[in-house]
Amino acid sequence: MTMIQLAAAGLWSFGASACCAVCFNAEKKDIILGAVLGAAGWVIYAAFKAGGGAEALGYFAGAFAAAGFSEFLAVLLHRPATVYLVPGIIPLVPGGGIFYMMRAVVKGEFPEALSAGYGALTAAVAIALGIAIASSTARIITAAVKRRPHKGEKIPDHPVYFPDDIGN
Amino acid sequence: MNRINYDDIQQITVDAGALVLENGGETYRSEDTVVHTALSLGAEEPSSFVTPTVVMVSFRDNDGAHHSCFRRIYRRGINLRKLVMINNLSRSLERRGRISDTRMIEHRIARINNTPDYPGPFIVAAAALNSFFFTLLFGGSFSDALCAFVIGAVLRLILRFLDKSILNSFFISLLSGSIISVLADCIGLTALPVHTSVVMIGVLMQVVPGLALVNSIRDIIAGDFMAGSARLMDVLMTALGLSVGSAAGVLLTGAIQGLL
Repeated sequence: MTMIQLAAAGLWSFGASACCAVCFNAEKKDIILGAVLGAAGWVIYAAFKAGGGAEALGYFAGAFAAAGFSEFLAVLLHRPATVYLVPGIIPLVPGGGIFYMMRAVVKGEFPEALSAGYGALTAAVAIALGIAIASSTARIITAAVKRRPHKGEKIPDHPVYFPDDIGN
Repeated sequence: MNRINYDDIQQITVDAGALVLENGGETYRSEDTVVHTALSLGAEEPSSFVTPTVVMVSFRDNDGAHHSCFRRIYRRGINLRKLVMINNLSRSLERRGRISDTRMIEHRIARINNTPDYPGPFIVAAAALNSFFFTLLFGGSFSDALCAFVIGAVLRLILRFLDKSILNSFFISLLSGSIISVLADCIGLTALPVHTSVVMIGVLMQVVPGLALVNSIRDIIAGDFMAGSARLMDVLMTALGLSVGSAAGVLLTGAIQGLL
C-alpha cells in the first residue's frame, strides 16, 4: 500500500466519521474532532494491515488510539468521551464481516460463513479490548488526579463516595 | 427558609437520568447525573439504579423518611448534543454545591429537551455521504460509491419516516437489512458495472450499532455488568436483524433468476 492510498483512506474515513457524527446530532467542533479520531484509527489499522501485521492487532491498535485520544479530549474539553469515541471507532466496527457471514449462511456456503464470522468476531473482540484498556487506564489516571484537592479549594459538604468506604 | 419539595426532587432527578439514557449516554453516567442532581437539591444519601430500560432513584429527607421513584424508558435514541448539554448541567451542579432553586434546574432540563436537531434534509444528505465515503473506504469504485449514495439516502428517508411509528428496534434493523440488500441486488441485476457486496456494506455502516457497542464496553468497565450485558444483547440483536434482513436480497435475486 502506497502513501497515496493511505492518505486516501484517511480522507474517506474522515468524511465517513464526520457524516456519522452529523447523523448523531453532534455539535460542529465535536464533529471535526470525532472525524479526526476516526481517520486516525483507520489509518493506524490500515498501516498495520499493510505492514503485514496480524489484522486483529491492527483493530486493537486503531481502537486503542481512538479511545485513548477521546478520553484525553473528554478531560480537556469537559465533554463525555462517548461524543468523540463513537465517530472515532465507527470505521473499524466489523459490520461488513457479520453481513458477509449471514449472506454466506443463507447461500449455504459454510466455509465462507465460518471464515467471515471468525474474522468479525476477532475484530469485535480486538476493538472491545482496545476501548476497555484505554478507558480503564484513563479512569485510573483521572481518579488519581481528582483525589488531590487543589490549593484553597473548598471541599464540598456532601459525602464523596469511594468504593473502599462501603462497609466501614 | 424555603422548604424543600421532595416531590420536585424526585421528578427532576428522574428527568435528568432519563435524559442521559434516552440520548445515548452510558448507564453509569445516568446514575452519576441522578446522584449529583439529588445531592445539589438537598436530598440525603441519594442512590440510583439504572438499566437500559429503567431509571430508579431513592433518597432520604431531613426527617429520615425515604422517597423513591422510577421511570420506565421506552425509546432510546442518539443525540450527542443533548448528551453534552446534560453533562454540563451535571458538572455545574456538582461544582456549585447545594442549591435550593428547583425551578432553575427544571428550566434547564426543559431547554435541553427542546434543543432542535439538525434539519431533516441535512441529516439525510449526511447519511447519504456517509455511505458514499464508506464505500470508497472499503475499496469500491466511484460508480459503486454513487450507488451507495442513492441507497443510503433512500434508507435514511425510510428510517426517518418509520421513526414516528411504534415499531421495535429489532424489526427496524430487519427492515434496514432487507432494504439495503434488495436495492443493491436489484442494481446488481442490471448491466451497470457495480460491485454489489461493497455497496451493501458501505450503506450498512450507517445502521451498524456502534454506539451500543461502545456503551456496553464502557458500562462493563465501570463495573455495571447487568447494564453492560443488556446493551451487548442489544448489539447482538441489531446485528442479527441486519444480517437476517440481508437474506431478503439473496432470496429475491434467486427467485428472479429462477424465473428468467
